Amino acid sequence: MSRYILQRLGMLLLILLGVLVITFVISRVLPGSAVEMMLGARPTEEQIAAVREQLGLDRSMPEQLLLYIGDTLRGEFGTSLLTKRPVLVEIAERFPATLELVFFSLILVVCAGIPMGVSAALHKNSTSDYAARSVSALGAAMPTFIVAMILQLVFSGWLGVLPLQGRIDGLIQLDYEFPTVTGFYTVDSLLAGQWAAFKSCLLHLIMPVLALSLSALAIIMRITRGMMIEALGEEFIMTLRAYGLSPRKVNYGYALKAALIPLLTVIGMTFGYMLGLSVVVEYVFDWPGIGGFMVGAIVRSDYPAVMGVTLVLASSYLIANLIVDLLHFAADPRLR
Amino acid sequence: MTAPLLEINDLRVGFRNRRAVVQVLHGVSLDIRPGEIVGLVGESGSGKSTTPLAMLGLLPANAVIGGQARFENRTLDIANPAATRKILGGRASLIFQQPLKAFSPYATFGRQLVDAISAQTGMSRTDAGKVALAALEDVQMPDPEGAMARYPHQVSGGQAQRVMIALALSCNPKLLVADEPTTALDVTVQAQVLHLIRELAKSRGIGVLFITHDLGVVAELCDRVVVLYAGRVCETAPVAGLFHHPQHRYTRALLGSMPHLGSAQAFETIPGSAPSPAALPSGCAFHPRCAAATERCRTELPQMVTTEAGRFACWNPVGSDKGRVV
Repeated sequence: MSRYILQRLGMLLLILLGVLVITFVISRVLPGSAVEMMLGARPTEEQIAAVREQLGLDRSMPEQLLLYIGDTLRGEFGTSLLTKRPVLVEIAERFPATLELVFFSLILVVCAGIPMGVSAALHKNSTSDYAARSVSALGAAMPTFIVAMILQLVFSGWLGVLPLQGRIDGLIQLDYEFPTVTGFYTVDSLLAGQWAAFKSCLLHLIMPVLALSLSALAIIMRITRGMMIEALGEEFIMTLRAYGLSPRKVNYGYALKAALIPLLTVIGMTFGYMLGLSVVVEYVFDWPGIGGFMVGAIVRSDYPAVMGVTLVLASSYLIANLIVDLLHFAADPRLR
Repeated sequence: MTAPLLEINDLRVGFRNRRAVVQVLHGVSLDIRPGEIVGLVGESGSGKSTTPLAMLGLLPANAVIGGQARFENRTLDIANPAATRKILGGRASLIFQQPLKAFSPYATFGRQLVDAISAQTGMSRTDAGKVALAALEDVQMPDPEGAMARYPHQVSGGQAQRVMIALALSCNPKLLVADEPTTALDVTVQAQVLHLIRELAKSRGIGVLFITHDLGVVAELCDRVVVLYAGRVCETAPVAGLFHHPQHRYTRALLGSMPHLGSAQAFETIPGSAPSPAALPSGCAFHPRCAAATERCRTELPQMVTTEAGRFACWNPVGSDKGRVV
């Protein structure tokens, strides 16, 4: 039984090692030299040699790789060339904002997408099924930045009911201070009992979460519909119906369970998908997450920052998938 | 003769698709008496799987159903599957072809048995658990308590079929419908399961409708046989009579296609294949494959003839051949 879990953990470590090697290689082949960036135009030979030594660039490639892996394992992600601050600190400040955005979007996707998919499957080929499918096709087809801008135009521009961008109202944040505990503003403000701050955080979350969720919602809805229809066609559904189980129990107790177990994997993948997409959403809504930092780092060849962010994003995706695997393991008796 | 437990008359079923309704049953009539095992025989596409599903109210929503049915002297509204299910619930049960697929892989046998038993009888879950355990003992399931805690993937097909039979018998049904319950099992297990069904049916006076394409099983197990072809009954007779003196040309061809042990004579196959329900031949649906077909067979639908031995619908029955010993 624990073999399955050990196997997954081993896989996770192997993949992380692969990610480390890839980020290392990419950082060394990216155009634009870090040395140039640090020293500006026309540095002297001595200056270049000093910086190369400082960055460890004078050693052989395998040596550099080993040093890099060693540093990373010790939590030493290096210093951002751009801000001259430790990459880990930069990430720690921003990543919770991204996670909060993705986390709430994932909740919306799961809590809305699955019931919509189930209802479409139970009323297959009805008008509501066609309506849901058309809307989901549209949602999946619309580029996220367009969706984000339409939301801004309607709710902030025309109706003026939602804040245009940011994570919290600046004045409110000053007036109703709350300490950082989890890094999630909603949770931290609640813990501190600052209702006004909590409300401001929620209002600021609505549009980014909607923009980030729409395409994933469409995907989850469609896949849930398909899985549910497949589950309802299973022979055991006929048995249960033949033996007098209520449609409710058959649909939600048995068919939904059979549909949800394969869906877990898809939800795990959706997390990674939204993590990637959050870069765009953060840009449009000026969300102080990791996305903007990453784009800046890529554009300016701040390779310690790029490597750090890549590693953190890859790890969180892998951890999410590990959680999915564990849930799968708990839910499917055939794996035990 | 005792009154029939279940009687169906002129059962017609069609399935609606986007363009039209495709009729698969064209007036099937049959009856089952308490304690009697009736075999329902036919090729795939003959309607032998649709018939029991219609009887039990298990057809999907796109089915169009007509005909009359009576169960224990109560009229069934057979056109309304939900109403039929309600009346038959707890009194008629079904055994499926693939026992491992007939149970959810995500729940233990115990949970599924208890859910089904309490849904049918309204018992509490504790009482339903006791009934389930007793039923597993009745079907001689080894380690019945352990079986309750097991998932379908943890047992063999034969054991799962025993659980299925336990479920079928747990609510003391009057009628048992078994849809090829042994096809997916090993030959040795097949015999055990057949024996179990026969024993339980005879000792409890349960009427059984046994659907199969295997005439060997019919000969071993059944009291009476109903032969279906293209959605119609072509012949029905007690087993011995049917095997020794088949009347319908199709019945005879079916018997002829059975391999015989120790017989030098090669078994004959029936030429052609069963017609599609969407494009039935005129007259007797079997005439394109029948060596003895006459002009009348091609144009006119044969009428059902009742004799002492049984009933058949054939214009040129085997018994009319002169001087020929069948």
